[in-house]
Amino acid sequence: MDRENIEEILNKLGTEDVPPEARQIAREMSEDFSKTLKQPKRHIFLEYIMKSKITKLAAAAAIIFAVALSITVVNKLTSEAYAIVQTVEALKDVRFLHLISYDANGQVQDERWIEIGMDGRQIRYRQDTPPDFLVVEDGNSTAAYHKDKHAVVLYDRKYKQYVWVGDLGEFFENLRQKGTIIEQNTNYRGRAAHKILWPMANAEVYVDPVTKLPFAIGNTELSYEQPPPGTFEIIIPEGFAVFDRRPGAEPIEEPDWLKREDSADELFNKARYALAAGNYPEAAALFEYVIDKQPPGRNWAWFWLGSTYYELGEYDLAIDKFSKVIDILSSYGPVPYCLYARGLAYATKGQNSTAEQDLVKVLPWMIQSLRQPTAAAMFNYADDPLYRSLPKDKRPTAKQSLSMMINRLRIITGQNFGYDPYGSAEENEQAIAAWEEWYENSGEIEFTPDAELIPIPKVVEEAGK
Amino acid sequence: MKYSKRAEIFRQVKADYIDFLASVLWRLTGDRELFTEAMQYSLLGIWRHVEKLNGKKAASYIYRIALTANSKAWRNRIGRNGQISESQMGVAASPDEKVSNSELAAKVRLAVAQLPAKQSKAIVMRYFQQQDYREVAEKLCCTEAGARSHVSKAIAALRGKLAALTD
Repeated sequence: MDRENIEEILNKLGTEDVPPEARQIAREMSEDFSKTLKQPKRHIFLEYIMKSKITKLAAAAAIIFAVALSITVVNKLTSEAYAIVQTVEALKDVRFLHLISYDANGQVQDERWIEIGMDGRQIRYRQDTPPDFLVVEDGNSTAAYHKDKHAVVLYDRKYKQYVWVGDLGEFFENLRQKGTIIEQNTNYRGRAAHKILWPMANAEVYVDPVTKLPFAIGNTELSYEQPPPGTFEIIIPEGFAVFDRRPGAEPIEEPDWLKREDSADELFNKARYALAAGNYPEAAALFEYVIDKQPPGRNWAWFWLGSTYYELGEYDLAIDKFSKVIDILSSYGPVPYCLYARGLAYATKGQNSTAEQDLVKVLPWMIQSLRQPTAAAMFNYADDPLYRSLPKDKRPTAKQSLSMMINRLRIITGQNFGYDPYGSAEENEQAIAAWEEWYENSGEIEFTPDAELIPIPKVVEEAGK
Repeated sequence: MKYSKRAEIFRQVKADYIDFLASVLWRLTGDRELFTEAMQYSLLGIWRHVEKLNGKKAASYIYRIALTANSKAWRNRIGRNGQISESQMGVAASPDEKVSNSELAAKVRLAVAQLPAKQSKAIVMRYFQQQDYREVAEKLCCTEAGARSHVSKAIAALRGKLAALTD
């Protein structure tokens, strides 16, 4: 396409009539917006909203609903105000979760049923990951079915538990505290929906406007019906061998494949420590072993293998491993920490335009996390292979997390807005606002490996949080 | 500035510029859904910057607000691969269909939304608002040669972006 073509198209776009409907919508929206300015209290809310440019529409809806003011930032398609709190309330009554994840081709990747107890914790669970893997927890025992081996391994549930998310209670609490509305009265695959941001879900979430319950998280669909009878029952199929590892069971000679599975777990942990200690050749060998033995579901082994190769200067291998993670997790939507890692690997290789394609996608998540440090948790997890072993009080504080994210942003943008972890809250508020302003008005990627980084505070005054 | 004063300016800006804003946003977005979303962002942008809109430079600020809103609306729409999906393009059904409904027009609009601020401003003024270079220069606070340079750079950037989008 040459210059003349482009100018011709632009000219055509510029001379087309603007439909009267557009002017009408604009007038009505602005009129309704003006009406919301009549009550002094709204000023306070709007000022608050403006501090967070990323989430202002969403925050507007949530806050305004919460104080029961009948204000909406008007979308003419909107018929009813929605607030996150409605979803939180609706989730309290949920006893069963039914999740089906699809891969990029629309094929079922896995199906899970979860029974939730009155305390909000998982009490029974079933996960069917075609073609070979099935897990059933009946509340006391966990059965891992290895269909390809015609075997079932039984564990005491206390020692072996499978989960969809680590802590459902924390997951829902994160929605209550940090969830925001992105768009009301939109649709998802033809179904009416509100689109919300749930930081811990790490994906776009769609909520049913009637039930207020989420029905899609990334490419995972959720429903809440009672499961068919027998869903959580451990049934041994005919011809399957049983290896019972529950306390008190008769000792039995176990096959080599099962021993290798155990050793893969053990080696995975060794690999994490090797990577954290900077022993990259050993870490690479161990992670390679783990993914060779257990390729499916080992997304963190793939990711840290990528990180290890990055540290070893093997950027092509690193990119390959990060791409694998993105592929494995494709049904959950974008994988921000992995896009960041792969973008860095491309940029370090000098493939700046390819890097930009990854980094530009992750930038909104990074900017958003400046206001919501929990959204940075997965970046921290990815950066530190020992994170999962840390007790909660040893994990990065909000201010440490923020400092680390500012450094990541500096590296991929070359921007420096003067954040100081020991500075005043007011100064740092200005720095965050400057990042948001920059993102709104430019948001361009510029790989800057020698960017000036701020020190990560070891002891943080929580008062400034 | 007092709240009542800000509200008063907002209402005045709304009365003076809403049709202009609608016209710019419609040409930038080309469909109702994006337009509505960009309009929401614009109204919030106007409220936020309302104190800057009480003078001669109001029109220039409105451009900036509209462009930022448009970029955000597009950013929300584009998929994981950074491109618009076929289903969202309103693909042309016949060759003589209006350009605003064509796949190419959608790609041009997306590419405009991704331009740096000054370049997209220049393109909107020059082509979408059909202004001459003197007017563009005035609003961009630069010389006429400077305005031509912004437009020229924008066209070159659009060519590159469109090539990438149509690959």
